[in-house]
Amino acid sequence: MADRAVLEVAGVTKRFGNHAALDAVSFAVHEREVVALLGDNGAGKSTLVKCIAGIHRPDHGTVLLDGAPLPPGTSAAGRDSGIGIVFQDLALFDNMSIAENLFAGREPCRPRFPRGLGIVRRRVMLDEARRTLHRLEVQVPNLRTPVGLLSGGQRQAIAVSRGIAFARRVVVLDEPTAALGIRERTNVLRLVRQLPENGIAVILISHNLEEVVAVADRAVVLRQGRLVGEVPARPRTTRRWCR
Amino acid sequence: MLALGLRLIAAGPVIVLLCIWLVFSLLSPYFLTASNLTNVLVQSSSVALLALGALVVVMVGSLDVSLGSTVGLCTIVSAVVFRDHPSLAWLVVPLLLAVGLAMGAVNAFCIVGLRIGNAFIVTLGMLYVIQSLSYVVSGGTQVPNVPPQLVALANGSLLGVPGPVLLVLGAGALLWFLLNRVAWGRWIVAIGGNRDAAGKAGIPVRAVLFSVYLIASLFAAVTGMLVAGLNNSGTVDNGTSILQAIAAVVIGGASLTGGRGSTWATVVGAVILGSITNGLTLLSVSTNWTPFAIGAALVAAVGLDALRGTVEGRLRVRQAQIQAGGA
Ligand SMILES: Nc1ncnc2c1ncn2[C@@H]1O[C@H](COP(=O)(O)OP(=O)(O)O)[C@@H](O)[C@H]1O
Ligand SMILES: [Mg+2]
Repeated sequence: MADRAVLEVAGVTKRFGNHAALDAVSFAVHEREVVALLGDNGAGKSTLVKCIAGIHRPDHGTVLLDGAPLPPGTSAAGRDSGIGIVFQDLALFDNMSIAENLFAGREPCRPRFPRGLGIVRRRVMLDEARRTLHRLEVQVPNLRTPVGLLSGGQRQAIAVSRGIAFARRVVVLDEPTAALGIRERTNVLRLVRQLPENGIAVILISHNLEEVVAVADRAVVLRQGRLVGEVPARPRTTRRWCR
Repeated sequence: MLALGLRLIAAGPVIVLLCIWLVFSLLSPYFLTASNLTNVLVQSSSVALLALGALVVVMVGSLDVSLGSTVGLCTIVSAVVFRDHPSLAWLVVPLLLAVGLAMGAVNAFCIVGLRIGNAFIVTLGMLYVIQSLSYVVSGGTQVPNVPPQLVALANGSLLGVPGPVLLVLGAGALLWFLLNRVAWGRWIVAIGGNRDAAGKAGIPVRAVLFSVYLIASLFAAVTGMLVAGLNNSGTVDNGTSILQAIAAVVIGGASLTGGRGSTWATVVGAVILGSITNGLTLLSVSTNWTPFAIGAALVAAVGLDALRGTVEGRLRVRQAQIQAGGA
C-alpha cells in the first residue's frame, strides 16, 4: 500500500504559443511521501501546479488521482476529490475576511443545492475556521478581519492553511516559505511535516535547500519544462542537481 | 485611532449627507421639513435604483453604461404597449423584466461569452444600440401615458411612505441580501477582489460574471417602471442618467476596480446627489451650477477613497509591527 501512487502526472505537456512550459513531464507521489520539486525561475513549476489544480488544461497527458484521471480545466473538481493547493501568488481575497478566504468557493450553505444559490451559514463558517486554524496552530487576529489588513506572514499562513486544511489525498505547495521570516518559515514547515503523518502526500516547491533536505523524501528537478532528474533529497546530491 | 479613522471613512457617505443637510438647512428654513425631505427621497429614487444596478457591475470591477438606455427603452415599451394594446397593460411588469433580461443577456454574451475584452466599450456600443431601439419602437422621443399600475406605484404611498421610496428600500434589501448572505453574491464580491484567485478557488467565474449583467439590467428595467410612472410617459434616455448613477455608486464609496462597495451607501450616494439638486433649487441658485456641485462631490468622494487607502496601509504596517514585536 505504501507504494501506491496517490497523484500521478503522466506525460503532461503545456504550451504557451510556441513555448513549451512543460514538455512530457511524468512523475508520481506516493502515500505519505514528500516530494520536492526543484528548478530555476521559469522552469515550469508553477505551470505544473496549475495543471494539477485543473486551472490549465494540458495539451497532452493527464493528471491522475488514485489512478483515476482528473477532469482538466475545473479547479473545483480536484479540490473536491481531495487535492489541496497553495498557490505561489497566495490567491487571497484582500477584500474578504479570514474565514471567508478559507471557505471561498466552498462555503457551507443552506440549502446546499443548487450550488451557489444557498444562504451562507456564517456561524458554521466562523466556527469551522476557528477550529481549523486552532488545529493548525495558526494564530490570527479576529476571523472577521479582512485579509488585506494582515501582514505578509499572516497572509501566507492563511493561504497555507486553506491549502492543507481540507485536503485529504495530496497537498501541493508552490514556494510557501518565500518571503517569510525564520519564525514564520518554521511554522509553515511544521505544518508540512504533519501532512504525511496524516496519510497525505506532499509536493513541495522550494528554493531553499535546507528546507528541502529537512522535509523531503525525494526531489525531482525541472529544467526548461523537462524533468531532468530525480534524486533522494540528501544534501550533496540535491545541491548538485540544483546547479 | 487608525481603526476609528477607518470606521469614519466607511461611514463617510452618511457623514457627508448629514453635512450637506446641515448646510442647506442653515441656508433655507424650508429644506429640513418633512415634506421637502420626502421630495428629496422621491427625486433621488430613480437614480438610487439605477445606481444599485450599476453597483452590481462595479462590484466585479466592470462598468455597464448601457443601463440608462435600458431604462429609457423600458419606459417607451410600457407606453407603447399601453397605447396599442391597453388590454395587455397588466403584462407590463413581466414584459419589462423580459426586456431588461434581454438587454443584459446581449451585454453578457458579448463581454463574457464572446470575450470581447472591454466592458466599457461594449456597453457604450449597447448604449447607442438600445437608444436607437427606443426611437424605433416609439417613433419619436416621447410617448404619453403608461399603464395605471406604474403611475400608482410611482405616486402612491403605503403608511405614509411614498411608493418610490418603498421600491428603493425593497430593491436595496434584496441586493444587500444577495451580496452579503447568498454564496453567489459573495462570489461576485470575491471576483471583484481577485478574479484570478476566484478561478483558483473553484468559483464559476464566467457564470457569475454573466449573471452580473443580467442582474444589473433587471434593476434598470425596474427603474424603467418607476421612471415611466413618475413621468406618466415613455421617454428615450439621453444617456446622462447612468452617469449620475455611477456617480452615486462612487460617492457611496465603491471602488471602480471592484470588490468593494455597499448597497446602502450607494443609496445614500444617490440621496446626496438628490439633496444637492434640491437644495440648490431651493436657494434659487441657477440650475447651471447643479452639475458643478455634483462634479465637486464626485471628486471629493474619490479624494476620500485615496485617504482610505492611506489609512488602511498604515493600519496594516502597524499590525505587522505588533505581530513581529508580540512574539
Ligand atoms: N499564462 C502564461 N502565458 C504565457 N506564458 C506563461 C504563462 N504562465 C507561464 N508562462 C511561461 O512559462 C514558463 C514557466 O513559468 P512558471 O511555470 O511560472 O515557472 P516557475 O514557476 O518554475 O518559475 C515561463 O517561461 C513563463 O514565462
Ligand atoms: Mg513559480
